[in-house]
Amino acid sequence: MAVLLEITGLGVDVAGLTLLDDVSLRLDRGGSLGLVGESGCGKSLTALAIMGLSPPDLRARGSVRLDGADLLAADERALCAVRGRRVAMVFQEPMTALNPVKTIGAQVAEGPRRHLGLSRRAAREHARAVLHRVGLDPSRVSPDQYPHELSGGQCQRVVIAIAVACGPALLIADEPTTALDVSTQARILDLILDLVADEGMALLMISHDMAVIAETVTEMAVMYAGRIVEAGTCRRVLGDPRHPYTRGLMDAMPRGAGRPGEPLAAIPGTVPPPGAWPAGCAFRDRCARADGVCAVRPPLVADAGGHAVACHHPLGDAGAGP
Amino acid sequence: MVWFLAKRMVALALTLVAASLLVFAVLEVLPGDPALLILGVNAREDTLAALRESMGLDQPAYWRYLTWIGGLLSGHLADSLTYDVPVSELLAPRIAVSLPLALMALTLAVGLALPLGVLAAARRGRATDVAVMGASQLGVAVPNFWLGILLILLFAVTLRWLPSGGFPGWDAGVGPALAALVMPAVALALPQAAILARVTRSAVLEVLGEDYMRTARAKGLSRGEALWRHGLRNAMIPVVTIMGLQFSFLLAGTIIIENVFNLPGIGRLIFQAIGQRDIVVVRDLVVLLAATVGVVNFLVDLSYAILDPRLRHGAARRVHG
Amino acid sequence: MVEAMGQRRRLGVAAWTGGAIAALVLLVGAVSLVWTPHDPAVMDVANKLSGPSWSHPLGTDHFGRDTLSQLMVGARVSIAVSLVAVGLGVGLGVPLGLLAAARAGWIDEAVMRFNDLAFAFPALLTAVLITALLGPGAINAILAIGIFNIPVFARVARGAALALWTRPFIQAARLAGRGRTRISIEHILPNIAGALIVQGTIQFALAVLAEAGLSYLGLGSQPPEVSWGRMLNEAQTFLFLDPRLAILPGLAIVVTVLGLNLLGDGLRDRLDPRLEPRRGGR
Repeated sequence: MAVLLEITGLGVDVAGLTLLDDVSLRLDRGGSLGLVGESGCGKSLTALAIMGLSPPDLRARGSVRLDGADLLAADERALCAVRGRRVAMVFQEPMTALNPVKTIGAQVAEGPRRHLGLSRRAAREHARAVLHRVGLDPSRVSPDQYPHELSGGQCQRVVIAIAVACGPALLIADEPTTALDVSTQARILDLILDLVADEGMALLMISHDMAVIAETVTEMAVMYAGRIVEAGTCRRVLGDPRHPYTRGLMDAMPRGAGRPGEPLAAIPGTVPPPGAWPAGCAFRDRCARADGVCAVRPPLVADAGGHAVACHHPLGDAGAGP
Repeated sequence: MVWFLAKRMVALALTLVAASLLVFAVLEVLPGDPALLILGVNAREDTLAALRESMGLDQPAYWRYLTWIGGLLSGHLADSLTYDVPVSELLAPRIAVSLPLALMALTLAVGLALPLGVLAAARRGRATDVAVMGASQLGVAVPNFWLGILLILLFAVTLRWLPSGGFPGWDAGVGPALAALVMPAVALALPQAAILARVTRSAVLEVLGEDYMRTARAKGLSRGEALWRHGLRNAMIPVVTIMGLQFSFLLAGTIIIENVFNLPGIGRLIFQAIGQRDIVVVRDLVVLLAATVGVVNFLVDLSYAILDPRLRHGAARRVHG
Repeated sequence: MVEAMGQRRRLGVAAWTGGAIAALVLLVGAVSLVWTPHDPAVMDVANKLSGPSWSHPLGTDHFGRDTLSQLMVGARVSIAVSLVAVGLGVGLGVPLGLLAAARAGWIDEAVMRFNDLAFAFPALLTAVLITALLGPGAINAILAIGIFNIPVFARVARGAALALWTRPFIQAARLAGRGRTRISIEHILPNIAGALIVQGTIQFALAVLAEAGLSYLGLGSQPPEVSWGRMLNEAQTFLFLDPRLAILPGLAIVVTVLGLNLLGDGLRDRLDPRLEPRRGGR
């Protein structure tokens, strides 16, 4: 399959602090990739860096190639033509991601009017159709309504409609269900998967939730403290986690069929803030397997099956299956 | 929406009743007999009594209050104590000075402050921002009457471009009349513009950090487009609040600025009437000004409803401030 | 108990400059109590409207009075009037605001409606009304300016206090059986002090402007006392002859107000918990 997105050695710094370091990812046309990790590990920043929307005082290095063209080197005008047209994004907080003083129809129509060269009237019709497609039946939710008249789930559908309105090649979903209640979460995920399959979009799913990743994508990367610590197909990574951090995340996950009453395991400590990351392996302060070698940064090494891990003491076969 | 406006109307009416009662009460306890003031200390007691009766001063206070309010509502204003003409006749020519002055000043203040405030926010931390904020810091500190004096010094005394004061009347032609209002309007406007520019800047900065601005950018809008199409309307809500407050400052400012420039306007009239204890003029003018302020605040509320659909639909949400 | 307010920022250059200017004006006012180059009220008609000289560093006015001495006394008057007026606003407004916040319901409603009424009138108009009715003079100017500071401080105190009442440590004090009045004084007041100091500095600057405006209209302190506003009023007559007299008192006002505003802005950045530095990006 043709490569759609290729990120090589992406790093982001602010005022001498490194927030993201040496992140490399690959996503095929129509493929799907999950980015998982605790909050503050750089998942969202990676997404914003792809969009060229990271805060202005942040400096990005490396390259982000979309169909071969480096977005980090592109000028603002070129980026505006890419955003919303080729790459689109769904955000975490649907209630604040929408402009409170504009109708939802107008907010959806804006992209098509700009990127597809539609007339005002045609863009409005298009927006109506897209809203219907994401499950907002115009007979029940009018495009002339305002965000505050909608529920959180409906708002997230509007945000999704805005993202898919121009048929992008890549959809980035940044914690798209985190702010929603549990019953709505599954329906929103289904909608995203449905749209991705229908339109042949590639999906970059960002979540702190292993379950969401397992359900929505085929490949995944685990991030910790601004770096990728493990990557591969979901089957390999989830079936045979090799990094102690990945293992920790999985153990911290509630399992529906698990033994009730058994306490969930937690990773000791918390993610240190940028600047307080230990040298070498950033996880070593929280890792039971760490020793002197871990003061040297472990390289991300892939095996023959493409399963990569950055650890001096990866978990062996003993880690297969709970 | 209707409910929202109805509530505001009632609040406006109540404020006006309270204001008129307050003014009436204050003037009631004020020492000084209006009849004595008109006829002089040497007047005979029976003449004074006759005048009091004709002015209704022998009536109980509540009755005089009701008569006054009734007159105001029916547009029938009492005679001024010192000018001997109905207050309405005093008002007309003075409103013709003060209203254009206030409107010119407001237009100037808004026209300067909004673009500069937005510009400063868009170029936060850069030279433009520093310059605009520095000028605004200075503008806030300058008393408007001193600014007026400086303008006279520069444009009337030194350059001799504009008259140093007075008003030729609209009969003298629009040109000379406007020329007489230019400096007063600038003196009134600049300090207000300085405040408004700061408010605009911080409102825009706040909006720039909102999530929906990022959504707009993610759609492919440039920074400028996102600000113009999504930011400004949201940023205008606090700005309009301050503009409403500033209108009452402008009104009060006319009292002092009309004195600096010797303009025969409402501000000067009320100042003189207070000095001459012309109770009739004072109470009518105070209620008129309070009503103007009230109406402006009502318009501000109305503009909230236009700017913010959440208010239009009666959603439970208090407006900023 | 004063809660930590996140990481404190140091006062900036602007705040220090503002503080220094305010201190300087205060010092000049204080010095004028014991010494001025000349008696500001003594007329020397032979020397009227003279320019700067060794004897009169800033020249003399139309009666030959020393301008520097007048400016110094003007600083004192301006500060005294403003300080007492703001004190009046704090002294009455803060208890009202605390009361309104502590007792929701009709007391709160009454205090806030009174505030709305006070805001419905242009402040300067009412100040003119008050001073004209009570007669011109420094005391009545203080009263007129002070009355407008009451609702301002009531509003700031109420707003800040309301936010605090929902906080766990106040709730804990409630549960421990402390009375509302005691909590207001022991816990709320220290925590809103920052906001009050900031507002106080800004109101001080506004009071200086208002005092100048009133005395320009002839409603402030009366002769033989001196004030910057009246100096400007008198100077306007001689604008064609000697612009110096119209420029100097105005500069004094601008510098004072500018200093106080810079100080207030700096303190707000530092003290006002509502403007806590934003937490760093994701």
